[in-house]
Amino acid sequence: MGVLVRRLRAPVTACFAVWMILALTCGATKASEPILIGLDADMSSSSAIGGEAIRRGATIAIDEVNDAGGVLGRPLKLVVRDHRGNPDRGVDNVSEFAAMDDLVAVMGGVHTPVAMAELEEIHKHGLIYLGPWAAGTNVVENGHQPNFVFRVSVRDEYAGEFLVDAAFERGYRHLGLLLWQTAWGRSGEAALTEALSRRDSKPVAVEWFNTGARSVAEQIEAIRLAGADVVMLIAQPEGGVAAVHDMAALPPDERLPIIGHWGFVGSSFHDNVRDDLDDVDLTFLQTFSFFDPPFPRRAEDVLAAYCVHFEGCDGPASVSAPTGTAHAYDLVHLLTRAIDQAGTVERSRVRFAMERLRRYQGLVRLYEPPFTVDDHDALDHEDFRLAAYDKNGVIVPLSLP
Amino acid sequence: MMRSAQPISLFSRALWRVLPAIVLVQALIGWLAWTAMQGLVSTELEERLNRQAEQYAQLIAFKLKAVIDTAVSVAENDLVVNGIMDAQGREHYLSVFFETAKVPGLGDAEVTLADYRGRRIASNRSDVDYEASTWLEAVLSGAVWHEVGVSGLLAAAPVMIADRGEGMVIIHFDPAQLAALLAIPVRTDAVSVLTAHGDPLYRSNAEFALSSREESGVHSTWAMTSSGIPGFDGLTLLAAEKRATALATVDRLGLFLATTMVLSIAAVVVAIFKTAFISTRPIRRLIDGIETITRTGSLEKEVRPEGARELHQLANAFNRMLQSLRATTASRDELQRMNQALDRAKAKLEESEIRFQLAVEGSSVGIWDWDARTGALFWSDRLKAMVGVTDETPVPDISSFEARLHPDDRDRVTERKRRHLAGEGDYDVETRLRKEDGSYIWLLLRGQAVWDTDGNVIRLAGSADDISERKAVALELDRRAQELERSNRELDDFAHIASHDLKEPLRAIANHASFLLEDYSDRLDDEGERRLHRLIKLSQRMEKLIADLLFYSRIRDGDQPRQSVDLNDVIADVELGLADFMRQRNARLSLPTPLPKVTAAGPHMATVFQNLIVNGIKYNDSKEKIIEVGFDANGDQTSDIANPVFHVRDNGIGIDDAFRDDVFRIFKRLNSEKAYGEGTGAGLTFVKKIVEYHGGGIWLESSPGKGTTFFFTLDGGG
Repeated sequence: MGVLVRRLRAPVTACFAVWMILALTCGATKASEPILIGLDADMSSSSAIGGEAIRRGATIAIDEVNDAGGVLGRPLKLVVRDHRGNPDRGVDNVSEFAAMDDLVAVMGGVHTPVAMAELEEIHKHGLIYLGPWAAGTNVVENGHQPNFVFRVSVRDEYAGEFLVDAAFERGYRHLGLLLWQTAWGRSGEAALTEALSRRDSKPVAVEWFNTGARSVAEQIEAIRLAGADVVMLIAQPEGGVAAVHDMAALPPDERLPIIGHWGFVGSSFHDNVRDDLDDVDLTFLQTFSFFDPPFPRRAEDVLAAYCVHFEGCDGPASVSAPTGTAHAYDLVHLLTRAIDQAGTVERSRVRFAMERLRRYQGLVRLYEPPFTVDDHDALDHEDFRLAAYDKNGVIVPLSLP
Repeated sequence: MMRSAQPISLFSRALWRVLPAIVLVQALIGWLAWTAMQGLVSTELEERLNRQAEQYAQLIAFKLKAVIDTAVSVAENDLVVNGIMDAQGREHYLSVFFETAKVPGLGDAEVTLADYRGRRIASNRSDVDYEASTWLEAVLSGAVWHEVGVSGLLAAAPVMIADRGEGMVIIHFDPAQLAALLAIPVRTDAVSVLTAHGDPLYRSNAEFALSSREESGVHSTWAMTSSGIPGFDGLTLLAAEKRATALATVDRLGLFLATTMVLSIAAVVVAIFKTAFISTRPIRRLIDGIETITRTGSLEKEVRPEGARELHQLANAFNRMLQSLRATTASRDELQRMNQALDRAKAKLEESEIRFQLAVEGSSVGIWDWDARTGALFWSDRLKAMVGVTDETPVPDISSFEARLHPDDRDRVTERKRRHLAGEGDYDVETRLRKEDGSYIWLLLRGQAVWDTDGNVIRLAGSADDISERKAVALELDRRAQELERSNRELDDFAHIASHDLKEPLRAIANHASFLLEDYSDRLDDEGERRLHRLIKLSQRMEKLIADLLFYSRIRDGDQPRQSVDLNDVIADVELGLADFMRQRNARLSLPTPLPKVTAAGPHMATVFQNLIVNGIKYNDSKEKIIEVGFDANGDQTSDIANPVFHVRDNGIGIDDAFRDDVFRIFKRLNSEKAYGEGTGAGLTFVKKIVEYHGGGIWLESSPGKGTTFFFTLDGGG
């Protein structure tokens, strides 16, 4: 026996040493590999500005996390895929992300229709979906259990309430709805109608337009003839341009004010309607603004980082779609805290942790807590405000609600 | 005996001279025309095929382009664009759009909306997938893609959102659908559309496809041309026509030319023959004429000028020569014949003159002759004697003759003369001419004018007949006839008035007698009563007689209008009226033939037949009394009566010859009332008067004991 032990000691020791080296080497390799966050947004099409705003907010936050040593000892890394607002591309992007081992979550873009289309694929692969923009109520209220979607953005249901409230505050009682013929338009219609019904009212007209429509003059005419005193607009950038342009083309006494959801923001919308805005009273929903942040010091830091990272920045006015940037920024930090809290990048456990995050002061608001098991929407109508473009195309909040 | 060589006829000479040249020229022209036509048709065919191939290629390009344009148009549809973005809601409307909506011009072709990777979003086919297609990137970059080949036609147009391709609309025609799409109405025999590899995509004519494959390269049976399809590189259109069909026209032309040539040669032969015949006929006649003179010595037969002008001149010259010969060679015999004829004429004239003189002198008729050119008037001695003109009296001229005419006759006579001289009727006129002693003589002047060839009157000659006596008799007859007529009328009027006026007192007598019988019967003895009864009966008979007399007096010509009367209707009416009478007497009427229609007074005809029929029944002892009414359309052959003769025949007692005329006398009865019933005896008188007023006559034939037949005629007949 002693002989055997002696004869085996050397090889066993050698083997153990090799195993230890291999294990340490492997572990060190895994530890240094970044944790991936996917960004699936329109990066090149009509809402590319929105997508870029999200990327910027996420990038600033990731840099902050990575500068602080990462999470679980690993850096975060953003992987960007462009869905161009096309749901089919979005679904394919999600599939691609799902195949990436180290990818924990996917951050979505502006488009509710894309987000809605991706839900099936997200839940199939158990990917965490972070919503910094798309406001469709059903993006979050999607019926999946467990629900992998977490949003720091507007929820249409609340937006409806907020917008109807804003209209009523400004004295309008006859609301005409002008809606994009997509899942988002339908979500907005439901929210506005319910908000009105809570006030024992209903829309005087509901008009729809298609994606390719170059004009909505007929729909505006129908709304006008139905006796509306305000147009509630839910539109993508092209639809928003058409609505403002067609409204401006009417004689002054026939024009109606437009109160819009924010779908057209995050694009070259202002460039296309710059002249028409002199003739059309356009206000729209916003959340965060660097001009009037809830926590100015935090905002200053973020803005400073923004200006370091991105060229041509000289103040709050330079942030073209501040909500997208701010929401993405907060979401990355919330995800980081969830990973940290979960102690793993395993998606289901991170999702579990997301529902149980503690109180956190973000850029947009103080989350107390951001999410619960039953509530995956971090913002509510208290975060909303009405804004408008100034002459330079800068989004300026009109007042705090 | 030597026979000189027979010279050939004009026809043969012309034929041999002209015909070969014509045949040669015709053949040459025919060959040239046929060759030129062949060239023309070939060139025209080639040009036409080129033109049509180009047109067909453009048409097919247009149809293919239309499919591509449709794909583009669908891809630009805002609902389709919206569908790319509206992943959740699109199922509701895109399925309707693609599966049920019919896109014009696409028929059953596949229409698909695919996503950016070629995966089906909506389609009218369930199993389509273009994910592996090589052209996806090209389409997403914004290009419109199309492929036309053996697998059909594929057109893909990008669905652009914000100027980026985010999906695509794909239209796909399978090979059969593509062939149907390419089918175009063609006027050429065959059209094919081929790929760059020569594979047919469409062919309008299976026969052409076979032959083109078998005879790749040169197609001896087909004339063909090709044209590229603009905008679709590699596609070629072949338009072809069967050479046989195209050149059939030329073949027909060749046949036509050959037929024309043969016919024209035949026409030339006939024309030469006809010309030769027409040209030589007058010459032959001239030759005949000369031979006749030579043979018979007769200069009578002249030649009829005919044919060409020169031949006319020749015939006329010949005839003039004959006339000249005839004039200068009149024979002595002829002169003698003429003298004899002259002598005979002279003798005849002398004889005639003597006869004329004798006739004039011997005749009671005067002769007159007026020379219109000199105005001289010749009167024969007899005429002079009639008028009492002596030799001392100057010879009367026409004006003195007219001065002698009775003033009442002058205009009539001169008018008659004027009309005769104008050729309008005979000169035949009665006139009074004043005699030398101042009294007038009635003359019947008859004459006849003689005119010269220009129509001018030369003379008017004729006779004058003394008709003074005849005139006197005629005047006397006229006077008496008028008197007679007046007398008859007065008599009728008298009978009418008398009978009418007599009726009144007669009726009063009868009435008074009745009153006497009624009021004084108790004071009258039997004899007185019998006499009063007799008086009443006689009065009644007297009234009947008067009524008949009145009727008789009313029968006058013209008292009833004459019109066309169907005697069958008249007999039917009479028979109806006598029905009871005939039944009681066992009598019947017999009409062997239907009676004609006559122009007569209808009621009078009824009277005639009723009286004759009643008489035939009444004076009849036969058990069955048969009255036959008939007529003979040809009249009475034994006399000169031409009008139809009607008869009423009975089988009664007959009439003795002695009473033949008495039967027509009024109120004359041959038999007793007791034996043959009552009657006034006026019936046959009425019949006779009516028949005579109708211009006819009545007579009878009878054998006592056997029956009587009354015959009568009517003027104008049936």
